[in-house]
Amino acid sequence: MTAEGFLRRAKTLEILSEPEVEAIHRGALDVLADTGVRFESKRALRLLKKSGCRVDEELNRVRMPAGLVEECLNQCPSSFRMKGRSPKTDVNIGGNTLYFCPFPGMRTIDLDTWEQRVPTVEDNHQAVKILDKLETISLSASYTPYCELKDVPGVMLLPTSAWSRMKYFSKPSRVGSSMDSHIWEMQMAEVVGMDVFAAMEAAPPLTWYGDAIDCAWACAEKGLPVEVGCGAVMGGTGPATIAGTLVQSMAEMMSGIVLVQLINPGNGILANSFVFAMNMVTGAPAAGGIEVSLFQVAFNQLWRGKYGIPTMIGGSGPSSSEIIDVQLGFEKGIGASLAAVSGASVINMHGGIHVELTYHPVQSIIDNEIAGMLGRYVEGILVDHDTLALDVIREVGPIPGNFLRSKHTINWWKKEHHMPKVSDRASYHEWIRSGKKSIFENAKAKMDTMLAEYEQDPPLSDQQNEDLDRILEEARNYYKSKDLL
Amino acid sequence: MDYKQKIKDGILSYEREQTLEATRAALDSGLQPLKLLEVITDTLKIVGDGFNCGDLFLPELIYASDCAQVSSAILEKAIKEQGEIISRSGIVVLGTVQGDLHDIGKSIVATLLIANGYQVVDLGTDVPADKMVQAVKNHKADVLGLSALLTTTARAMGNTIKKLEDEGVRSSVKVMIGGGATNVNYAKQIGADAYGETAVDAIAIVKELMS
Repeated sequence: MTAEGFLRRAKTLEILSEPEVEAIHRGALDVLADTGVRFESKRALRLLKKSGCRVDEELNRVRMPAGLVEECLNQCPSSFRMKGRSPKTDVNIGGNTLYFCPFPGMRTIDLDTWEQRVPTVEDNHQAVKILDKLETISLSASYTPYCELKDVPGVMLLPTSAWSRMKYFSKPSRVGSSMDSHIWEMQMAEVVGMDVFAAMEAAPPLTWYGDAIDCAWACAEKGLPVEVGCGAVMGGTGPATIAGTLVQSMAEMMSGIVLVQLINPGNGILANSFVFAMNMVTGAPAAGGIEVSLFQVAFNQLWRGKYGIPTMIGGSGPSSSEIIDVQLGFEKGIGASLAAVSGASVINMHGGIHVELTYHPVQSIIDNEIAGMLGRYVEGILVDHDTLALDVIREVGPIPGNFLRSKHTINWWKKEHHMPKVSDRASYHEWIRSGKKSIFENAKAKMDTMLAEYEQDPPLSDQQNEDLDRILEEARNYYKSKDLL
Repeated sequence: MDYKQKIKDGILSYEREQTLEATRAALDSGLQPLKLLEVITDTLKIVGDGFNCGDLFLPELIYASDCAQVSSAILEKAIKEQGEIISRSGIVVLGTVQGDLHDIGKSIVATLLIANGYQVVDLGTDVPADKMVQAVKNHKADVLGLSALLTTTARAMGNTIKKLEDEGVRSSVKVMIGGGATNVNYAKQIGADAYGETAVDAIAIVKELMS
């Protein structure tokens, strides 16, 4: 287990020309100054008005001057640290590091029938334990892995999800932004000595609801980072064109960033892309489409490239496939690859299956393979005296020489070659002998082993466990007092 | 100074010079070369087990074996000088057949056999049939292992077996074949005694052929 992430040496892929970047940037500033953004929060409107924005109090519409927006963007740090439950799970998001994060699903699926099932709290614990031990996972989103739990009322989902993660996940987490859940989640994080970050996700088009603002406000006041996200569906809640949805999403996020920077100048920001295209057959978001990747590559270029703000690519986690199959593999593989090569700081991928509707820990183990490969890719090619291998090439010479017998191979192969964990690398004969197992069977077996071997690291004290249970109970009482339970 | 431990550590840390120095120092200190050879064999067993269970990989296996062989050579010389005899599990002659330059698979087989206590005569690649037969005669080989990776060169295996028959030594040696261009049916067709799918299989096959 490590939270070191992958240090990027490889050059990043860019898809837009300089004038195109500038056109999108100016387009977003124009939307902010002209159309404006709706803020459903009186205190946000007051602060924005005080800071020079034009506020239409009847429509809660805020129009922002370009100077303020650019000033606030410039205040955002290019990286920020977050504490895990121990120093080895701390993260430093941004800069040249790539991290991976799980992608949630509402329900789990039966691996034999592929039908959906509402997971139990124990299913959630198990999925969290697997994530805790996957070496490519360094942090978690909120309401992850599952966003629906059997016998847990909807209003208690987020606190219960956080409670499960605080118990069995040692890496930093995001807090949810619905129904004041952040209050309890932040308290739980304090109990285990971990940093959390806010979820501030725009409601497209061009709207901020109170929940997202309250969550961001609470975190920013404490100096905790805020993930500012966009989630338009191209052709539905955003323009059908990729450039148009970029403009709209940038405007939404810039307006959120302005608010956060006014609350706490210099606060850490993570720019999250959760944009999909609309599936024009059903009206649902079409995950796994190449247009989603086009959006994400440009998104990385704009946020990380132009503004130096770390990016989280949330939209490459799921597929449109209902099952763990070839379609899921290539949609997730292509999506995550393009996100990684274009400079993402965090990719949300592990475990997600169908859009945001299903999740399975077996898939998270398979995604660990993709993440390992992409991590190795971004680390790039080391070119120095030793890796150029001139000495060993001279020593080995032409056939019958070979490099398998060289000390140089021993010294380097494990650093240079990525070794998959559950992918099939057996010879044909070994594969036959071992029961013709695919990555799917290998990952299922790996899940059983990981659960059998799981140990909390570092372990929580009895007091910490009691405190977590107490806070969950307080959340329950809070929602009861509001007649929500 | 625990020279035996140093020899073992040298092999397990893939340090050829350290292994060799420790072996020389052990001999100088008066330790019995036969006992030192046992240390090497036992250490290679650890390496072989590590490879079989997936903890170690080909480069480690091959290089540890190379470290061991360099030291084994000086120990064998010392043993002979003392007039003692090294007990071997058997003698195996290996070669990639004429026209075929693929070396690595056959070298892995050689390494695994050495690690399991066999004396291996590795003739290399592109080996003509008469050279194979000569080596079988000279070394009184128990097993001849033939490798071919190309469908175009696999037929040279049949020629080699025919040559063994022509020279009257076919009954004194067992023949095993392996490599990407071969399979169990081909082994039967050309009159080989066994076919090995993987390098690891070769160990069990040689053991069975010699039983």
